[in-house]
Amino acid sequence: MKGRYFTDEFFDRLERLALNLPTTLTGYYGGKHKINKYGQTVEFADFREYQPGDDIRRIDWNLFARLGKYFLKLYTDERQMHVRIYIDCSASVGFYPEKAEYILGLAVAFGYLAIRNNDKVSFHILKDGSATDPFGLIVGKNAFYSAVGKMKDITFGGEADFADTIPNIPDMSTNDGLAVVISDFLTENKWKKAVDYFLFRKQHVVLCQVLDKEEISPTYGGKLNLVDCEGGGNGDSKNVQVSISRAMIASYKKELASYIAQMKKFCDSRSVAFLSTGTDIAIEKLIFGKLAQYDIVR
Amino acid sequence: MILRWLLPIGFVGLVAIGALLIVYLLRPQYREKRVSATTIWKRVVSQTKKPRPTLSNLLIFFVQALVLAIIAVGFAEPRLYSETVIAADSEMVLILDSSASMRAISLNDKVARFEKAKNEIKKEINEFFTQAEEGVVSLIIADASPSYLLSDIKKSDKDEMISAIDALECTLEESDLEEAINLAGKRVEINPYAKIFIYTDTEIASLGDAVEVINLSDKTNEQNIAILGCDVAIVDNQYTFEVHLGAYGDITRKCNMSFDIKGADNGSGPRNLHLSVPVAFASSETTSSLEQTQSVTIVATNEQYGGQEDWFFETYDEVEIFIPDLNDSIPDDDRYFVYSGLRDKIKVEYWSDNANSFWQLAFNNLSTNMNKTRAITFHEVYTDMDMKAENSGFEFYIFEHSIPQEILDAGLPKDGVVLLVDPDETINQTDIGITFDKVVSLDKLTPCQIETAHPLTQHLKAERINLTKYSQVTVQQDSKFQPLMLIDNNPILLVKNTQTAKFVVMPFSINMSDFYGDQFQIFIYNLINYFMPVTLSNNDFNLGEKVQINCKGDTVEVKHGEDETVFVNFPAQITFDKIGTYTFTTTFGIERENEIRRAYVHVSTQESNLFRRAEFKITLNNKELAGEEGKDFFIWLAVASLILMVIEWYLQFKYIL
Repeated sequence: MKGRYFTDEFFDRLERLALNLPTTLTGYYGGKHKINKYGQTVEFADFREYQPGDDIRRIDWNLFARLGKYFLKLYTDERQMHVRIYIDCSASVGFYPEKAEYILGLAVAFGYLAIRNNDKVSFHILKDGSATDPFGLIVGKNAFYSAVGKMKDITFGGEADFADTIPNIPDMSTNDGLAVVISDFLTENKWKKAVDYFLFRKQHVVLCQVLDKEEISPTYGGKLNLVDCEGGGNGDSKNVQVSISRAMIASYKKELASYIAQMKKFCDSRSVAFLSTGTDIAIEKLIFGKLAQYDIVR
Repeated sequence: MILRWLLPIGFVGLVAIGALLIVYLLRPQYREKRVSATTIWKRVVSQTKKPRPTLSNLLIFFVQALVLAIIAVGFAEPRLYSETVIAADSEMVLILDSSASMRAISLNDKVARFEKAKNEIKKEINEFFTQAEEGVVSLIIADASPSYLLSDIKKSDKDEMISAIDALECTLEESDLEEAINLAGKRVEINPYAKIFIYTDTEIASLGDAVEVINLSDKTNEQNIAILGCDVAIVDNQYTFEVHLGAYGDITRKCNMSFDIKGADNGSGPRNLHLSVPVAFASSETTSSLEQTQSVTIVATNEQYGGQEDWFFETYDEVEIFIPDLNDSIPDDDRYFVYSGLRDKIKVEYWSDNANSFWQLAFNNLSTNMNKTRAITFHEVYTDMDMKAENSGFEFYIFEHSIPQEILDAGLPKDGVVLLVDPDETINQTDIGITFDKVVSLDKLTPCQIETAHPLTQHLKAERINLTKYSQVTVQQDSKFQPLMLIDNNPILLVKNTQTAKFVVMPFSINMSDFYGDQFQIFIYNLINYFMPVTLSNNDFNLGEKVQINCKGDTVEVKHGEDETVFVNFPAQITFDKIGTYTFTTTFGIERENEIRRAYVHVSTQESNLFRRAEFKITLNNKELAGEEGKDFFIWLAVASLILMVIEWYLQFKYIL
């Protein structure tokens, strides 16, 4: 797969952005995410009176000279975030190459934003009813670029089973980062169960729905036996016979809008960021625009 | 109701149904299409589409086929007709004019128009059935009351029809051509292709393209001179006969008109008189009219025509007028009769012991006014001159105030109407059924009331008849007197009109009333008309004319040749259906001689005109197919088609969207 998003120009455009998360994050030290606890950074946060046992090196002697009391200088704390990116690599995503490329590009963009923020990144490939982590935990740009180079070799097929596979991924911790799920979500599988699992793990969740323009506005018509590419061919229960007219296309669009609205309503009820986009919208525009609205990037 | 297809080729459109069927058979099945996901489509289908059942496909096909069929039917232009409609060019209606003028014969071949018409009709029928094997022919005889002689005759009955035509004879009546054309026109309304052929001698203005007029008149070989009528009048105490003559055709001719008077009487006994009156006709080049008329006046002295001094006469029996050796196309109108007796003689006897002039004045007035129909003679019995009243020989007997002794001795008259005016006790000596009671005096002029509507009280205004004195009388129940006017519930005018007795009783004195002037004149007028009506209003009539006859007696016997009819109820109506002299004999139940009247019935003067013209406000056209004839229900087809289209759209919408 040619990665039009895996170029230097693409990464340069992302250079000015960073992921932003709330201050309740717990994680490894060394990151760039400020939290609401005092730590060992050089950025002053507050004063407090000295108490026995405190490190005397942190006493502010200037204040002692003025006030005759011992005060300690407190500094902000910063943690490292773990950004887990779940990529739907099912057949439905790979059906349209542009859509597959877009989804991978979006995953890379999220990964780059994390790496650039000194966060940890892991890519989870969901297909054939299982989840794999082909690149392991990525820390640092060298490892990231290495993973991006291999990402071109990802293949698509089978179904992505969100509900059963995500809870079984072993590296999941609690309140340590961001879970980004990128899919077309055109599945009856219980992706909502996966979202609830993320929330149980106190992860910040971003759902990115990517639809091909053919999925947004079908150009085919007539009497068709629509065969789902993730199904078992003719006779599969996913198949549907339909006489497609202009009115039917209008109904389709209306139903798709309703489907997306339901997803958004579900996400809003759980403070989950939800983005729905078509492949004709540039990834930068998506990130600069819609993600910024959710205050996930700044 | 018959359905016709004006454009049957429109049914070719039904082929479209076959095409539709092929389209259904060949219509593509569901094509396979791989898509990334069917999730949304399933949601769409689950909400909108039920799997279309086979029945719905059949239903939609049926509806579509029905729409196509209706459109095809519409193209075929159906028309609904109210009655049996015969196919185009297959109906012919023939009208044969059988008026008297159709009897006119050609001076060349001596063949009558009517016969020529029959031959033409037979020829037309033969030609028609040669061209239209399935056609029908109808024949209307246009006489005084046109009707179908034969209707919807097919080729198989052609010989029978020809025989019927051969047996036809021309009438002497006038014909009602307009009614005959209207009758045929109804067929054109039913069948817009029916052709009408009129065989007549009347020149008729255009009646439309459905009608063809075959004029059988022959201006070259037909001529007619006719005696159209004769007016009789008494001028300066002399009879004057004005004979009206007509000449039709290109006639320049001199001839003699014979004028024979039979029973001419100047008081010395009846005798026959004869005159030969020359008449001349000359056709004019300056006029296109083939009609000449002239009148010849013959005065009783007839010096102009060589009559002698003793040619003068006061009465006559009949006058025969004819033109001998005429040799024209219609001989029936060459002879004419004028009968006397036109004026009824009414003699009135008046007796009074205290006479007044009202009666004489009233009768004399009427004598002048009724001069043309009646000769009224008023005879007053002057008692002071020892004149005696007669009890016979008069039509009316008037006894005022009293009844003369000589009448009481001899008995009341039985040959006329007896008027008893203001009778006294002498009435009790008669057996008419009325007795005198007393004289009643009133304080003032008191108006009368009409008790019963009766011809005698017609046009009388009772409130204008006032009395100051009257006689109270008693009327026996079986006397058959009918009270007509009352005052204070007492009768002051009674009438009895039976076969054997005719009485009018007025128990009041005219001198003691204001019953004179116009009301009295009206009463006398009613009296004459009621008891002495004119049997006939004229003494010459057209053939076919309907005339009212009255009777001053009991019956009227009408005789023409051997035919005799007796009328007993009047007024009666008689239709003159034969040419010639009709004799009317009035019989009386009272002692009175029968009265004989004669009238001459001749061919209608209109029929003497060989080349007459007529215009009828009738237009009959064989309309085009796109015309308005028949009931067009295209609009209903369009509505049905529209409804079916909506149903089809609904079915499609239901199962697709």
